[in-house]
This record gives sequence, structure tokens and C-alpha cells, in this order.
Amino acid sequence: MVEWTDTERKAITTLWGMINVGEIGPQALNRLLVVYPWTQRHFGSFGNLSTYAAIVGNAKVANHGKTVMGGLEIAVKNLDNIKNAYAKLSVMHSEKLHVDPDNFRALAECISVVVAAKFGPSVFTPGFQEAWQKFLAVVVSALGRQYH
Amino acid sequence: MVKWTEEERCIIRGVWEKVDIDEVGAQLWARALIVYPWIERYFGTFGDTFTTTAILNNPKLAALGKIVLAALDTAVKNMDNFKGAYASLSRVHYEKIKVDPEHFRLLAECITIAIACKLKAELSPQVQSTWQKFLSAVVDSMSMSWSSEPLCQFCLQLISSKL
Repeated sequence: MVEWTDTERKAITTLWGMINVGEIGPQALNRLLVVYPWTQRHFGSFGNLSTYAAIVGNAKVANHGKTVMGGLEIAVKNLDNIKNAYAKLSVMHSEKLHVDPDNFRALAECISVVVAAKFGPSVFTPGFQEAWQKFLAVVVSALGRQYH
Repeated sequence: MVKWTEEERCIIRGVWEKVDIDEVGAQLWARALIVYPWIERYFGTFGDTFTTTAILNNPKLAALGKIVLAALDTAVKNMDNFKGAYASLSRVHYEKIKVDPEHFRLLAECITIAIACKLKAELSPQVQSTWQKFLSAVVDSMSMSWSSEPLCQFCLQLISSKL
């Protein structure tokens, strides 16, 4: 089981308290689709993703970004049981959505970049970055757990 | 050789102009060591690098961060010849420092995070994409000694076994 120090728990809950999922989520998903364009293949039903402007202006992308970011709430509320908390979502991403689990890592990276850009170095200190990236790494691992 | 469009060159220069080497350099290794603590193994001669406080206040780490960014400046000025520009630096990291080349990628990630903190919204998705392409190419060039060496050794063994 993942061990969290008190400092890490505080960093994660502090950052989470400052994050507006409707703001950060869409930006993170936009970045994923632009920086790692092969991820666009999962969004065939989202309409036009053929240009940068199309992606950034796409309401379905924005909405889905918000949904995905909101999904992190499960982890924040279940820090000591993230693996089980994401079991069903993991099965869904594996069996129904057929997402390459490496893409979870790519999205986590995009989320971190957006959080860093939003809050700057005085909030997103090296200590906060460590806790946040460890938190996301645990979520990424949990989402990949049910793959076979 | 990596191909760059005029727009990409402009984006890279634009990002680089905004990077204060002293400011970003000082936090670079702190982020790498705190987020990826196994990297400590390279810094045996740097004094105390074992606690967050020690890392954040270590002058040798801050100085090394500035050196790394100065070397990145080389890349910005030699975008059509990373391999030439980084050949000897790559060799040093392979033969002398014995770096795991995966760690170049981890440091590159910390560079991007530090720059995101600085540039904020100016590091748009498009700019991030171009910047990461640039860093990826730098990481590839720094890693070149690792991919050529085993092949050289193999060929040398093959030749000597046939003599």
C-alpha cells in the first residue's frame, strides 16, 4: 500500500482545494490532444479535432476534461485505498475504451504542467510537486491495475 | 537530424527569452532531487542532499542548475546541429559521470515544470508541444553515446574474433 507522509497529504489536499476542475481539466485535456496527438483517436465522436483551434474550442473536449479532472476527487477522498477506489474505472478503460495505459501517464504530465502554470513556483514548490506527482503516479497505476 | 519549421524556431526562442537562467536554474535540481530522489546518487560530493531543506539551500545544486541551462542555451543556438554541439558533453555523461540516460528525461520534465511555473499561460498547449519536441531532441543528443557504444564494442569484438 502507498504510504503518505503528513506533509504529502497536506500538499495534496491544499492543492486540490485550490484547483477548479472546470478550469484545469479542459486545459489538461487540450494539452494531451495537442502534445500527444495520437490520443485524439479516443475521441472520434467529439467532432472536429483537426487543428489546434478546433481542439481548444471544442465543447465536448472541455466537458470531458472537467469530468476527468473531477474524477481525481475519488483519489483525494480515498488516499489510503486508491487502488480499489479506481478498480471499476480501470476495468472500463481497459475493456471498453481500450486506452493504452501509457496515455494515463501522459495526461498526468499535462495536468502537472497546467497546475504548475496556474500556481507558479511559490505554491507549486519542489515539495508540492513531489507530493502531487506521486499522487498522480498512484492514480495512474490504479487505473492500469485491471488491465490484462 | 530534427527538422524545425520557422514557427517552431520562433516559439523556442520566444520561450528561451523569458527564462531567467539564475531564477529557473536555482530550482531545477531541487525539483529533480525532491521528486525523483534516486538521482541523489550522482551528488555524493555536493554535501547534504538528503532532506528537502538541505536540497533547497544547497548552493552547489543551484550552481549546477545554471550550468545546465547555459548548456541548453547551446541547443537554442544550434538547433540544426544538436549532435555536433552535444557530442563531448554526452561522452562525459556516459564515460565519466555514468548517468542513466532515462534521468535526462526526468530532468527535462522538471525543466518544463519550472518553465511552466514561470511562463504560466504563455506556455500554451502549442508552445508546450514545441518546447517538449525541443527538449526531446536535446535528450536524444545527450543520449547518443549510449546507443553508439554497445554497437562499437560489438563490432570491435567481431573484428578481433575474426583476426
